Amino acid sequence: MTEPFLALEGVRKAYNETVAVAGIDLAIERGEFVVLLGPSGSGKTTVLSILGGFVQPTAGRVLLDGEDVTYLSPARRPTATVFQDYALFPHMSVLGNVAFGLAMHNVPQPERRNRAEAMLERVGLAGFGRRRIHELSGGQRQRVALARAIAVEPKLLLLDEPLGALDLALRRQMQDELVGLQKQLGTTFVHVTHDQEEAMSIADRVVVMNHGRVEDQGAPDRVYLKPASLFAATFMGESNILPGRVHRLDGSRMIVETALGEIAVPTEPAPTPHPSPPPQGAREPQQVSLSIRPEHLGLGPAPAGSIGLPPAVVEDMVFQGTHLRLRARSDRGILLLLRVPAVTPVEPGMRTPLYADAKRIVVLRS
Amino acid sequence: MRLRGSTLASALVLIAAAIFIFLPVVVLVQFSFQDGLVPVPPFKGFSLRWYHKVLEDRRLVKALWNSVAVASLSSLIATVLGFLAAYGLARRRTGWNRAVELLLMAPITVSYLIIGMGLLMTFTMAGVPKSLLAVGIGHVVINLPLAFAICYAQLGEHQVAIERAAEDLGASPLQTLLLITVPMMAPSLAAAFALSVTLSWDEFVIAFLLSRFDVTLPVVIWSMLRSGLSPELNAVGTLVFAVSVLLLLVAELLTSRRRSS
Repeated sequence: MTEPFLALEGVRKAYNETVAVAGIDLAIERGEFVVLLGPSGSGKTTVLSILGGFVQPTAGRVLLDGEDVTYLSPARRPTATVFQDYALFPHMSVLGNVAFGLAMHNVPQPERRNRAEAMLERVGLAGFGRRRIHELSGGQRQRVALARAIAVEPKLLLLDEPLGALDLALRRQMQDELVGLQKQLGTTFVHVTHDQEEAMSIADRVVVMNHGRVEDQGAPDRVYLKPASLFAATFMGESNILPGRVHRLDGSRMIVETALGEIAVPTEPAPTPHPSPPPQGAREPQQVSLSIRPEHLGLGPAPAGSIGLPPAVVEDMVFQGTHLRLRARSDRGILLLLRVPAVTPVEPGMRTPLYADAKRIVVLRS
Repeated sequence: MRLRGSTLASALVLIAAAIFIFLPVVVLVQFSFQDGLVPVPPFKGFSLRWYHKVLEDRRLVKALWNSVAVASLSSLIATVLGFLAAYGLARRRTGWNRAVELLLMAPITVSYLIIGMGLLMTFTMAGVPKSLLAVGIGHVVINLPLAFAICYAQLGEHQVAIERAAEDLGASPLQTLLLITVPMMAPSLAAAFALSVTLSWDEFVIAFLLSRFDVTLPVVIWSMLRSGLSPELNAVGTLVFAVSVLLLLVAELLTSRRRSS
């Protein structure tokens, strides 16, 4: 097996009693766009700081392009960071900001200037070089921060919630531009965010973090459709979680007893490890949770390949353009979230049978 | 109408306060131009003769240059030390930070007389003679806390983030200090320096206790006062006052220009 471009090996960081990163292993390939996704306090920013060299791990190593950089200072590592608050130099012009890193790398003057101007052009700020930082809008400052970081041609670009301060429309636009820029440059990007929509729209690979651990990692669609943990299922989009017990295995199906009755989940040779069947003679049946996405539930009698669920009463519904988001209370008292086509004939108070797309039900260890 | 009444009242209070504060200075300045031998009313006419006399008085001119030297050098040292102390303390978070802060600020609570006496005794024991050097050291002692406080207030989290960005782009700690921190702190450094100069410029007690043959301007003025009033003293006082005002204006100009850019 070839060595990954960037590897974190058993990286752990503790501040006195508080554990920020609880020992994680991560391998990132050259040219990948990786997003660290997690709530605040999940350790994602600490991991980024460890990659940038601003924080030294309590244990573990960081290998970048075959070199152990664990204790290398930020100035001497081939990484550059786009900071959350941009951290631009207020006493310099826009061009001065972008050229700063080149000056620190002893790039001589005519070249330094030309390269800085080329970077500004690349982020759509051609001709802005002489402006002062305080004359720029938030979006423009964000671009200057980006240009300043890529100007030094880092092997690894780190982005610390760079779009957090922008309004929604601009954020979407910058997401597209970031993806375009990353493809053009071919540089490895590690991007931190708590916004799961942002993560899904830009990442080649999403790393879901919680409590300093990696909960799941993989392509956004895989993490969404087959989350590896309960946390990943709930943080990456919405999900209905049904606690249950593995009743028995029936051929290629796992019969799970839940509050909605027995649900037979097809067991496939899945890429994610499924809970092992209860060992022969075990007394305690295994506790699991079923995760069902709102769009994988339907109203009406179950079509082929689906699992019929007990009827439910529609409590409320919200029209969201492309679909209806509705909540229905099952006869067994369980409240379920559904996302159905906007043209579905339904109204609050209606009692209807429900079904779930069998292939889309994910079994998770509790 | 009630509002206008209260506005009028506050304007009157303001004017009264201004008169109370500035009348002595106005009188001092006015009678430095007195065309007569005593600086008391009536005002006999405008003349610059006392200024000529000041500039011809070698003792006064020498003291003036002594004051300039002591003020500028002691302020420079106080500003540099205060900035470095603030920088070090702001960048190295330890359990002792608060204690060091208090220690650095402590001289501000001690009167100049006590500081002067303490230095006098210490210098005597250490064999340091009374001199302008001793005065300068005394002025560093009183100005260091101010310079420290002014710089420390500016070295917040935002500044840390910007320095971190510079480091990330390949700057060494020294490059970061000289290319990022010092230029960004320039207004604060200028303000600290200007304030130190004004305080050193007309400081009397420490200068009086720690000097002997070479003295600063306030000490000469004091010894001249003992032989009675003269418009020459008004002229010197006016010059001292003018320098202070000029320094303040320069500091204000520097900081406001930085703020707007």
